[in-house]
Amino acid sequence: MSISNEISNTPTISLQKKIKNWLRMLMPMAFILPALIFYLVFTIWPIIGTFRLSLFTWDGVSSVMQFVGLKNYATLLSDPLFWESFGHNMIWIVAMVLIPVSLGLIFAWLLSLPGIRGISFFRVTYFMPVVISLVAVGIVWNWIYDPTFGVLDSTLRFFGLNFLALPWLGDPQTVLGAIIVAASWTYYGFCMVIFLSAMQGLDPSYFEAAKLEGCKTWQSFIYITIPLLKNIITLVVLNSLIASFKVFDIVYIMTNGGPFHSSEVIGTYMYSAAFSNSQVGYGSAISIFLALVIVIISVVYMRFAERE
Amino acid sequence: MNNTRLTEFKFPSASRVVVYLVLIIFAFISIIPIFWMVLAALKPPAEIASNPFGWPTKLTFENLAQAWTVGKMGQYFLNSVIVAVPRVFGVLILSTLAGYAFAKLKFPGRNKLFLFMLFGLMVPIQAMIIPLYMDMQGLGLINTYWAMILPYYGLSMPFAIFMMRAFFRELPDELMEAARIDGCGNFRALLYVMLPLVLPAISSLLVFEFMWSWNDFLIPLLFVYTDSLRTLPLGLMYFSTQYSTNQSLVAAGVAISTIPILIIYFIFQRKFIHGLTAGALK
Repeated sequence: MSISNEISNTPTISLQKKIKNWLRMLMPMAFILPALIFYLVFTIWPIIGTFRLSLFTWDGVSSVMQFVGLKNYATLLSDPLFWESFGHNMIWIVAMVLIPVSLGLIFAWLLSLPGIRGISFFRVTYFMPVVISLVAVGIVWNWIYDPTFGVLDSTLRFFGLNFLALPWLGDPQTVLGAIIVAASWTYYGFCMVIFLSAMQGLDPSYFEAAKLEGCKTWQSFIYITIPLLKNIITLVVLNSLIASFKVFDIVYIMTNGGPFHSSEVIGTYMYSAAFSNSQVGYGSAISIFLALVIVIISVVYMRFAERE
Repeated sequence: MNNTRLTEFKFPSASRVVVYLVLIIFAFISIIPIFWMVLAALKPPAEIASNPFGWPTKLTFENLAQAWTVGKMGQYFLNSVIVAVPRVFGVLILSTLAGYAFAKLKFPGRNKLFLFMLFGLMVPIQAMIIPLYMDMQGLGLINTYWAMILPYYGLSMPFAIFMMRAFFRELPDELMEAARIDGCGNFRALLYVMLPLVLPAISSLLVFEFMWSWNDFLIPLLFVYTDSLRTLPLGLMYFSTQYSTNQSLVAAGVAISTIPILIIYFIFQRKFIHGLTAGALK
């Protein structure tokens, strides 16, 4: 009796224990579950939905959706306007690394030089444009660039440089550069703040040693600071890379891609396709393609940066 | 004292002047466009046409008042607040819970799940916006405040959880053990032991989430079409096209939408900087 009891009890106890252990293991999931559900519903599921839409031809209104397979992607690969926009994103990436990221790095270095005072003042000031809405930024820069009353052309005319007083946002030759300058204005402080705190965390003994070896200040920047900050530079460049592919707001607000698509980026091109031209399937294909490009380039870049 | 420090570091004063000059020029470049806008908003309308970037002869609050009432910037301002509060607090609550679990609790598949949550950082909003619109429409929420709030409970998670995890990881694991010995479950350990300690860090995520909510553009542009529901950036955009000839009013609109976030920035600037560096450096 007692033996049979033991036999029948042992498995139930261990099963209970197992369930208990299992529950204890999974309990932490309860903390993640709410965020995970929202993330699945409002991020992952819509991505899948966009991919599905990219396989159809649909105007966004009618009840008829025609399945076309990968035709939208084929259209995209041979769409010159798409590639023009893509090229503008590439220019944007290079410009973001050359202007705001480099400026941020240089200013962080200047501020961390010995004997330079007022770090907090400069840091607060440089970061200020970062917090302003891009609509406000767009309006402000539209004013600056305005050919009749804008401060830029007024100044140029004041110095007799009338030939340089261009309609910056109206000329296909200058419009992309003009928007990039405005975008850099809102981004270089962001880079600077990150680089500055990374530099403040560096061991000063490196620089003292370099001084003793007769290293000039700018040399220690190139040969010590930059190599020591490699990881953080990698991160900021990656962030700029992703942001440059995603760029939409400031272009939409300042020119909406015009004149004649000369400032069109993938973000605005997708927007026009899906929301102005009622090509929802094609717009979806563009954004899925863009997402793929970002994921692939980010992974390749991280691999490359790790191996270096 | 300053001089001894300088000679010690052999940093010549001539180049110090150049460095200061460059730093100050860029400080001006950062400030002046905003400063001009605010100044233009305070100028009498007659003056702005003749001399848009010059110093005003007298200051007036008439433009601001007019933009606030006639231009409905007051309504947009209110809408921005109504949207920001539930959006920011919802995001903070969800990401605190998840960030805590990712940093301090052990469970199978933790790292894989975390990477899966980070995936959203790379995907542009355009790759979600159409199905999101359809979902909101299905829920009957298009053209409501919730259409500008609810999607962010998912969309904001990658960044917010990433930050929260970093904040909680800064706390020593011994704290968790001590809380356990005192008989705290995971939730009580979070609420009574960990949360008070990460609160300063959480507030730096709060200012960022608030800024993004305040400046949000694409979702309010697409998900809300009634003027009375528009938030400041959208209101400002339509306002600036409608009154494009009245520069005083447009400048006043820019000032109204910019000054609140600037005030918050000046009060919490340390939080902004801490938030950025905590995210990037850890």
